[in-house]
Amino acid sequence: MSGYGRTQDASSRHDARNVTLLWLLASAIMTPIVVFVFGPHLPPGHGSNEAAGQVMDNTVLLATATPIALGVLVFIAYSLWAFREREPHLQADGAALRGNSSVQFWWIVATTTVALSLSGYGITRLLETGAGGGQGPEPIALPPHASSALQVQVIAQQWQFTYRWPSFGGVETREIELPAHTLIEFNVTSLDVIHSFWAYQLGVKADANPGINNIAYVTTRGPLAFEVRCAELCGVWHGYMYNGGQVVPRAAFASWIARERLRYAPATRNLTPYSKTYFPEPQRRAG
Amino acid sequence: MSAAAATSPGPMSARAPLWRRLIGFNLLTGIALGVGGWFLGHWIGSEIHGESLAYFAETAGENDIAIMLGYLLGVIGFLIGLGFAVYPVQRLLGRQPTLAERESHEHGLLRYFSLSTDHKVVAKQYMVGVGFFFFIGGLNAMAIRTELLQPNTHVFGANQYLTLVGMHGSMMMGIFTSGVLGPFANWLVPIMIGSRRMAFPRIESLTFWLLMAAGVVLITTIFFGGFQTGWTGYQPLGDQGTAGYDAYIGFFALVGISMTLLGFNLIVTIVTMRAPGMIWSRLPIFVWSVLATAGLMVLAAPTLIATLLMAAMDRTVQTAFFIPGQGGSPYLFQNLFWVFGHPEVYVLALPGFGIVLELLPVFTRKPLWGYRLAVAGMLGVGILSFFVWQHHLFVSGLNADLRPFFSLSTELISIPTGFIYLCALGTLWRGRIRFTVPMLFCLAWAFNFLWGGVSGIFLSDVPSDVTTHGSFFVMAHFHYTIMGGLIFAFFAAIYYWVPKMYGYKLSERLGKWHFWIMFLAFNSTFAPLFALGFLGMPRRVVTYATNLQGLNDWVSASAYVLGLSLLLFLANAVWSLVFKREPAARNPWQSKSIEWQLPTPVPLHDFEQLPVFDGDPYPYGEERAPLPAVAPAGEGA
Amino acid sequence: MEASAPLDARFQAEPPDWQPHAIRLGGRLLCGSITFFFLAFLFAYFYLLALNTNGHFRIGSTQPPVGLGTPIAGLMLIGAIVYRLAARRPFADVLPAGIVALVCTLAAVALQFYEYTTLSFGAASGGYAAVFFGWTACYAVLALIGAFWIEIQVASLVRWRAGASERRSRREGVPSDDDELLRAGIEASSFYWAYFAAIGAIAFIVLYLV
Repeated sequence: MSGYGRTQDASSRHDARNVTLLWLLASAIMTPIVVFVFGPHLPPGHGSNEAAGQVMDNTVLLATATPIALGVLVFIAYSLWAFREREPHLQADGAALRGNSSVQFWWIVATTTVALSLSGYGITRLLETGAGGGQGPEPIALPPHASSALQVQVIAQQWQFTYRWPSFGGVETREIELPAHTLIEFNVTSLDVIHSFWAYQLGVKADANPGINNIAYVTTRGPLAFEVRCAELCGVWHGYMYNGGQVVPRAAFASWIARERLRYAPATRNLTPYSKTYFPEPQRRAG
Repeated sequence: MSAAAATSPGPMSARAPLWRRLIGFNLLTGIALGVGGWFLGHWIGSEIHGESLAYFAETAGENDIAIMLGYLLGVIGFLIGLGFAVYPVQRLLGRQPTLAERESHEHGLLRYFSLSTDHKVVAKQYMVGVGFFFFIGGLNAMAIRTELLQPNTHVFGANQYLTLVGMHGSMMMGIFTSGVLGPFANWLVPIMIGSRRMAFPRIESLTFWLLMAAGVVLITTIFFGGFQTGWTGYQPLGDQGTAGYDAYIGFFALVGISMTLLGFNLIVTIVTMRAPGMIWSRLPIFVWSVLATAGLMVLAAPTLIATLLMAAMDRTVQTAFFIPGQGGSPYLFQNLFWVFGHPEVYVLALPGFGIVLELLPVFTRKPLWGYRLAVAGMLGVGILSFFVWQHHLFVSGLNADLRPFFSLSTELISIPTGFIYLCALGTLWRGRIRFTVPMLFCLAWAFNFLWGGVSGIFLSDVPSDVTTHGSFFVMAHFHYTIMGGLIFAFFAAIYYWVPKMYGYKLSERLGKWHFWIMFLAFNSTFAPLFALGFLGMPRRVVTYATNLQGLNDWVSASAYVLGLSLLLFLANAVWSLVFKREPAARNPWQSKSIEWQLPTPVPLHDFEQLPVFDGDPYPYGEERAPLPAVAPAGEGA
Repeated sequence: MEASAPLDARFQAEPPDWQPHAIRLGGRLLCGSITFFFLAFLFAYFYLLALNTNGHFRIGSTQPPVGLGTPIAGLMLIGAIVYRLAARRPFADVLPAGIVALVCTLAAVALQFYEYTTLSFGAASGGYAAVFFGWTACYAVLALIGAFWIEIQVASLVRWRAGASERRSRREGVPSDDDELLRAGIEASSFYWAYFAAIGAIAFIVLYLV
């Protein structure tokens, strides 16, 4: 038992050793659990390359955060137990420790190293293909063969998403189906206020801004159903602005889009020509 | 012992009857003139607007110019009624600067309902005022969680719900930014640095009454259709919104002015009014945190005011700052708002750091470990907070090439935050820890802010942020840092300093009940939000995927318990301070800080002789450590 | 200075240099706040210019008359420079300088409002017009508020001059605490005013010349 029976330095070394051992033990147990048990289930799943990439990022972050959080918690828990006041009647003071340059120095080194490493890791991953996030009208993180991606325009308005297909005659559909194992280029824009196109299982989120074209890349994998929700408050029915989508085999997609073209042909003739941004009138302004 | 010992009139002087004393510059007059000002401004606005922009008045059914002018003249009338115009008018006529005529006026309870130049009175006004609006914000939160009990059965209309969400966020972010500085910095800073007053006492009082006016303005939004943008007020949604958005603009503009002046006053006071011996390296760490916070307020809040003025112009004179079809840009609003918005959240975090580091030495009976490192942490966080704002905009498409920079800067801000933790941990090491109620809240701060900080690491990683931005994960992150961090530190400060400020004990037993219920309920409420965000639930939604109902119900139930714990605190406060009134000892915590060497209650002028500081601010663990030499004013009345 | 209610003799008065120091520092801090306020407009100008959303940074002809803009900015600068140069001089010289600053400010604001009536474009004419009206209107209002501060110095100087002969008979050559305060007020307000006028000059360059 630590505390008041020994010399101060011996006590301190004893306590420091205890804390370190407890920390190492806890980290050794928890970190693998976190990485191997929780890791594979981290959001947003493996529905696309970008989603899988995000799962990897989350796993790395979690694996790094676990020992750090455990370090703080173990230290505090140990201190509360070992250094609790056991003789309140003495009204004594604790040790007059004001600092320790060595501890401070290594702490700064350690935290800076972790911060820079995590940051470097995240930035590197981001610059691969954009990680599914919206990159604005001139994206810098381009996946290979970006110019031959399937372009889908996501038009957000209060309070529905519609989808326009420039390589299929500019038809605008209310549902979205995507071909499997294909590079998709989402061009997200809005007709009125700021919305956000969030396709959870695909790991895609791109804000829909009026007057701006926001581009996000995703490479789909096998067939799955995905959920699209608006992720930026856009007015009264923001919570109801959602729809479902599907990733289907390529042949199925081809027949689907052909059917949609036929179905919406009259409407497509009267639609405004396809453009990266739209400025509909009248604008609903305040009084 | 009367707090006005030095200058009170003798006990036999004739006190005028209450109704006579109510005539004059005070809250009542302020309200009367405020209401009058509202009607005057509204009428002027209708006259202007009606002629030249009748089209909009007809189609929109509301007149934003009239409403804005109404708020403007209403607030001006309110301030005039409180007496804020008296001194400026006298100075405009050339009179000498002085405080003499204010301090010798009202005594007793009426001091708290008027312009007071006693920093201790202003602090207590803040305590109650901020507490009141915090309570309203809390009620809003209970309403929100009630709505979210079921995805498809609605308790509130969709617009009502969004207004509740916006009001909750705005109350907390707007009012509570002054939640620590208002009550505690105003009370403690002059005493801790050895001055008797703030540099500009009338401005100090002005910041309080502006904040109260702001809160009232926000509440009036319900009469004008509410606002649908949440506390961030994004354009162009705000431009499109009902007239309730004008209340939001008025609220935040007033908050911005209050914040700017509060920070201004604190910086000037700390820099120029330190008593002999109070060199920078002896400044209590709480004062350092206040200084850093004030620096943020003074610079960030003016940007907010300008941004809101732009939004107001868009809504009234039809400019196009934020309307893309007309040459404006929604990105402009987002950029400008977050240039203010990010320092704003550090305005909320830094005082929490300061309180915890100030209290830990008292309850571990050790000096603050790593004082210089702690100061570096405060200043580092403050400065870096101006360079991270675009992490709120990682998926907006804005400046995508700058994202690496902002991801890095956001990651880096964890380093000075880490300094604070190291100093807290070092202070615990080899201490003699006393588990008083304030200490419990400090320890809870350390626990809660840890999760808040760690989740921030996730959010600063752009790929991870792609999924979590705009989801409940973000909500969990900022509730853990702001509520789990600042609010818990705030309660530590209350249980610690209220005995000195008010002279009465708070029940320790009720305090411990409050703490444990609040701590457990808080974690039970907000930990599942991380999961909800990870599972795809966006923010500010009135419905959600049905498979998430179980988690939402758990969260709502926990939130009710959390609300109950706060009611328990309220009961403790009212019972102890209004009914039981058991006098507190002069120094119940055996603190060696200067405010505890003064008698309770602290006399009007704080010190008779200005203190001379010549020792460490945390002289624990040492034999015969010198306490600051202080002769309190008017002792033994 | 009687910085607090009449104190008993046993109370130690606060050091008399505290409040003048506070006023001088306050003037500089105000400059910091006002910088961040106007930075929002400066940023808005360049940002909207760069984005030129829908080609509507300028709708129609949106060129304000340089013939009016020059005197507006010029008057502010002249008033500020005169006032700032006089700030260190004896009080008797500061008084006319302060009056000049006041008159220049009022004239500049009046000219600004006159300019609004003569403009060929309105507030709704695109991004530039929004920034133009927003920036100049906020500047004009803040100029009027700042003019109050200068007026306080002027009024105090007038009162000082009225009591000058009585003071001379009491203490020769030693500035009183009240004089220190007045000097601090003049110093702080003139510094702030020079800074404010410089912001006006920048606004002029950006809005009229760029």
